[in-house]
Amino acid sequence: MSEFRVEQQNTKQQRQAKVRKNLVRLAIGALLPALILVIWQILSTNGSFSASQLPPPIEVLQAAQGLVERGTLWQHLSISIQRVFSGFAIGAVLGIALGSAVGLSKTVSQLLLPTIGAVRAVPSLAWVPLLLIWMGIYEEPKITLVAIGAFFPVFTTVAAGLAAVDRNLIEVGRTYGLKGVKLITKVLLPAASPVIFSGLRLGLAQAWLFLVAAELIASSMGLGFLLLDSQNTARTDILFMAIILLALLGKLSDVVIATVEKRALRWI
Amino acid sequence: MSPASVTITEVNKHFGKGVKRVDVLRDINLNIHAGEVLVLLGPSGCGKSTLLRLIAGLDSPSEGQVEVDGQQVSGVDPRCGFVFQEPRLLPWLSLKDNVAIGARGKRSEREIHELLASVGLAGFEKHIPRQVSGGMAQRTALARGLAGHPGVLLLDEPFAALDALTRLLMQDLLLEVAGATGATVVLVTHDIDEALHLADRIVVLAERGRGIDEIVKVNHPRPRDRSHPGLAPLRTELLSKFGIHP
Repeated sequence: MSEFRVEQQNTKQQRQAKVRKNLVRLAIGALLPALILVIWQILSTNGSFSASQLPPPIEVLQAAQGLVERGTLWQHLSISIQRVFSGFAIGAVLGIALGSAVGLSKTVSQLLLPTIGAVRAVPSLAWVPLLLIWMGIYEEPKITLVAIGAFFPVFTTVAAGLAAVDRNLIEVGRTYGLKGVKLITKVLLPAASPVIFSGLRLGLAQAWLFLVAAELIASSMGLGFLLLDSQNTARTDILFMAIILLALLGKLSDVVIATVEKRALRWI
Repeated sequence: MSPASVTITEVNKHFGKGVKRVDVLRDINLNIHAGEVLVLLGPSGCGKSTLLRLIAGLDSPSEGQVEVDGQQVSGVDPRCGFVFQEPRLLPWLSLKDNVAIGARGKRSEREIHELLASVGLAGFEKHIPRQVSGGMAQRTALARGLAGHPGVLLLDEPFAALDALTRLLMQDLLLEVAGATGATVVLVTHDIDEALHLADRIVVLAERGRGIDEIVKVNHPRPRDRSHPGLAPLRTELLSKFGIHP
C-alpha cells in the first residue's frame, strides 16, 4: 500500500475536539450496558428471579474472582483464544486462496462452486461426530471446526468481491502491462479489499460461534466447556460470566480487525 | 521512444456472431504519420473508440492488421500510452504511484515528479484520487499515459466529461506535454471544435460499419486561435457532414 498524507489535522483545538467527540461516543455507547446492569441488579434482588436463575451482578464478578484465584480462568480463556485464533487463521487463509481462485477463474468457479455450496449447506454440528472419529478428542477437531466456520464467509465474500472488481480498472492494469500475479496483487486484491475485510470480520464472528459449538460437545477446557460445566453444576454465576466474556472477546477481536481495516482502507 | 507511425490495413471489426453480428469497422485503411496529431471524429457508435482500442492492442481486428512502427500489434502494446474517457486512477494509490503504473518501472521517482509537475500537479504527488478534482484526476491520467515513453499516445474522448473551461485548458495542455515528448497523438472526439483546435488531420468516420468518410487536413500552424476566421469554412464543412447546416 502506498503512503500518502491525509490532510494533517494537527492544530491543538482540532485534537481536543476529536478527543471530546470520542469521549461522547464512548459515553453514548456505554449507556445501554449501564441500563442493563441496573435492571439486572433490580430484577435479581427484588424477588422476581431466584438467585439460581439470575444471580446479581456482584456474584458474577465474585465468581470470576474465584476462578482467577484458583488460576483456572486464564487457562479457559487462553485455550479458547488460541483455538479461535488458529482456526480463524487457517479458515481465512483457505478462504482467501480458494475464494480468489473461484473469483478470478470461470473454470475454477464452475468446477468448485457446486461442491463448496453443498458442503456449506451441511449444518456445522453435523461435522462434529465425524471430526471426533477422524481426529480424536484433542485440539485438532476443535480447530478444524472453527476453521470450517471461518472459511465460508471469507470464501464467499472474496470470490464475490474479486468477480465484481471494476472491469475498467482491470483494463488500466492490462493497458500498462500488468498481468498474472502482478495484476492480482496490484489491482484486483486492493480493489476487492473492502469486501475482503467485511468477509474477514464475518468469518471471525463465525469462528467464535463454532468455537462454542466445539467446546460444548467435547472438551475439558475453554469458555464453551465452562458454559456446559456451570450448567451441570448449577453455577449460574459462572454461566453468566462465561457469556459476558464471550461477548467481550468477540467484540475485542472485531475491534482489532476493524482497526486494521480502517488503516488499510483510508483511500475510500 | 521516438514518435511512431501507425499503419492500419484492410481492417474489419465485428462483434457477436450470426444474427447478433454487428459490424463496427469495415475496410479501414489509414496511415498515421509519426509525430502528427490525428483526430478521429464521428457520431457516437461509429466505431472510433474501437479503432483506437485496436491500435492499443486492447482488442484485435477481425480481419486485417494494425502496425505500429512497422511491427504488427498483437496484444496490449507497450509502445502505446492510453488515456480513457474517465481518469480511471487506482483509488488506493497516490497520484505519483498512479503515474508510476504507467511508467512500467522505466522512470525514476524524480522523473515521475517532473511529469506530474508538467501537468501542473507539483505538490500533489501524495494526494489520493478522491482528494483531487476531476480535471486534476484527468491530468494525472494524461501524465500516466505519457509515463511509459510511448511512441503513440491514444486518447479516447479524454475531455468529454470535463467542464467547458477545463476542457479548453486541457486541450492546450495536451499539445504542450505531448509536443514535448514528440509522441504521435491519436485522439477520439465528437467535438468538432476540439478536432479543429488540435488536429493536423481529421479522419471523419461515417456511421457504424461504413468506414472512413473523409480525411480533412487542417493547414494552420499551432498554437491556433480558436476564433481564427480561417477555420470557419472547415467548421461549416464538418458540421454539414453531420447534417447540421448553419
